[in-house]
Amino acid sequence: MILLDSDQILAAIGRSLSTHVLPALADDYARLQVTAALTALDEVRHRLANGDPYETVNAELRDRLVVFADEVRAAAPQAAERVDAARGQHDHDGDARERYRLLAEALTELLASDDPALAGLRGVIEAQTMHTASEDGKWISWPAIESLQ
Amino acid sequence: MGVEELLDAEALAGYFTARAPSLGVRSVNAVDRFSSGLSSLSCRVQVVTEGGPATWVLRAEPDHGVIPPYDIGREAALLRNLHAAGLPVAEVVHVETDSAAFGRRFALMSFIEGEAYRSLDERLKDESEVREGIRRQFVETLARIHQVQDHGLPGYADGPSSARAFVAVCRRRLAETELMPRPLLRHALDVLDREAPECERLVLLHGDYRLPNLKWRDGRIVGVLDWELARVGDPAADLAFTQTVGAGPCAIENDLADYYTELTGNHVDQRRIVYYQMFELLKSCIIGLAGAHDVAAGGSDLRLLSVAGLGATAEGIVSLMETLLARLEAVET
Repeated sequence: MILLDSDQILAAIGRSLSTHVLPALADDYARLQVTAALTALDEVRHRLANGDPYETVNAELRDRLVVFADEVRAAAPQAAERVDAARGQHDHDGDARERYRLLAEALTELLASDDPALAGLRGVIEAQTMHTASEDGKWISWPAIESLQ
Repeated sequence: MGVEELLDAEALAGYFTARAPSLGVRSVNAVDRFSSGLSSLSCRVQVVTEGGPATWVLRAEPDHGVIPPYDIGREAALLRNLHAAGLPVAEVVHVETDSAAFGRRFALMSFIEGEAYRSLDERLKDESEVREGIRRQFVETLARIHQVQDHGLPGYADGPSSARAFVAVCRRRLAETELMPRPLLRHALDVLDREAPECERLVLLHGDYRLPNLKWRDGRIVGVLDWELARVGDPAADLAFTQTVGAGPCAIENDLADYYTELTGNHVDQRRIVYYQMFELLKSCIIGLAGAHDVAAGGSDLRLLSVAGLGATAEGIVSLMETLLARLEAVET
């Protein structure tokens, strides 16, 4: 058994790759693979410490949908109920990604319904998407992106 | 046979002897994979032929690729037509349309010596004569591409048909690669279908027109590369691409857009530009999803994880573009 915990093992792999492997590689393509792997390792360590990011996304999106439904409830109670029903898609104990999938499918249907009372829903999903993207931006390996140009 | 054999000088030499004797290859000295590019596998092949040393580029269809289907035969035929039309493109040396040889179809073309600039190249940061010359040539070459008549690619009846055909490609690709439902993207595809604009004329589009896909020598463009996404469509699509995915000092807007219109007579209104900006950003989201799907399906290029991350960041922006499009619509009506 390796006596280190998972984070310590991943950190050691990262140090090994950056100290011993990367400097020894002359091939550009191989160097980029190692560079991208180091970024991915950091992300995995973050997930080990903080849980699956979809747990966070689900919770944040749920909060936004509660606020939105309350805003439209007085003028359009039926539309608010539809949002509540969609939100209910992840009010159970299943896998975070499965709950997100169900919620996203339900929101897709609402977006496609063209209900004027739900016109603001796209903005809600948009705001969550932008927020998630800004959080996730730090896991992008820019040398990897630049190399693809 | 797979990609490893294609990168193996000995295996390639054996192929030339057995399957392409007319090339007169005596030896293959080196095969070096290019690290750039997202779809086709590209490498530099250095050979000695009966006529002397030669350097070729080998482009092979990818296993999966981000926006399939890839058709190297189609790309090679287009290159031949463009070369005949006098455009600065690589000369096709050989096309292998039987994937049995290396597990994939591929083409060999001439290697164009020259330098390339990145989209946000430091060398082009400051105002200078060089920068200005490059910007103008960037537009002039795109204008020439848009004026090619005998390109051989299939056409469309009108602007909306060409746009909707590509929406259909993106819709199919989204369905194939979506690991999780993306409500904003599905919605955006419906909007692009519904709002597909008319245009005055359809032209040959490069589809990936940006500085890194151009080769320069002595201040002149000597090579336009990467034609795999070429298609027929609204010229606004290529212009919008230079303003979004290919953004940088050569974004064709303001003075460069005026220059483009002066050269081609193609007038491009703001609504079409916004429509195709939204389209290009959506395309980059789908390329990101395809990257994630590729890795999940057993792919080994870890750079695709970052492409996926970048695509995800564009998703919200696609949606914002829809709002802008609706506002422009309201102003016009």
